Amino acid sequence: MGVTQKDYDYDEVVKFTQSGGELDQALTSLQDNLSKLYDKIKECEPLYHGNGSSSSIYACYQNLYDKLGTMDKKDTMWFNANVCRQLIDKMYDNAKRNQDNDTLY
Amino acid sequence: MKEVASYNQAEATAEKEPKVFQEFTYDNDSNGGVLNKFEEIKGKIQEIKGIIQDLGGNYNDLVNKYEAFTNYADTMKGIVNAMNQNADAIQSNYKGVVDTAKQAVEEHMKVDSSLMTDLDELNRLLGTGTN
Repeated sequence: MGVTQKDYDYDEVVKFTQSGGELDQALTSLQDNLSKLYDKIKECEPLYHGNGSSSSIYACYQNLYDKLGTMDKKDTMWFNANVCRQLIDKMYDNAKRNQDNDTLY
Repeated sequence: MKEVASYNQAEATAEKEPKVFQEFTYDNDSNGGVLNKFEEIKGKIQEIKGIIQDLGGNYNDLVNKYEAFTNYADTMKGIVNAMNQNADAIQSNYKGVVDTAKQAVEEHMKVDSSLMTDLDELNRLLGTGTN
């Protein structure tokens, strides 16, 4: 029976990147806090706002929302958080595949 | 297959825009007014910046440990840098909102000097105050 040469400790990487793992948790926390930030800005609007959509206050809020962005808009926080998510998921998938392949021997 | 992490997908994809109001409002109620809300927003932005730093640190640990991850290193570094820039822009835009409040308060102070404490607080939130 041959000995498998591990390139890296894929068990550790799986643990790190799986749901609930350290890296996964950090990203989930980021996405959760982006939602909370949006909620707080929304709560702020009735307390402080200008007259109409041409006010400078309206423009400032719009700038905030633009930068929070969406998963589809490049160079926004939500977009980049989603790219980060995809990368971590890819790392997980690769490590899990290596782990599963090794357990066949 | 990895279990999908839950987050608010509707919010992550929805267009975001301010509500249109028909008159200027500055609610400085000491209990739950705009100054409290500004403080909460400031704190949340700081928290987000801290999380991004942790993400970058976590990822660096992996890259430093295993050569197999060096392929991802540049991509991940780019993403973390981009998120840092996004967070800085959000912070700057938040300060833009607070600054408009400061200007409004400075204007109204000409007839209502009791707004001085608000001005102090707004300057503190902007990082320009002395307290």
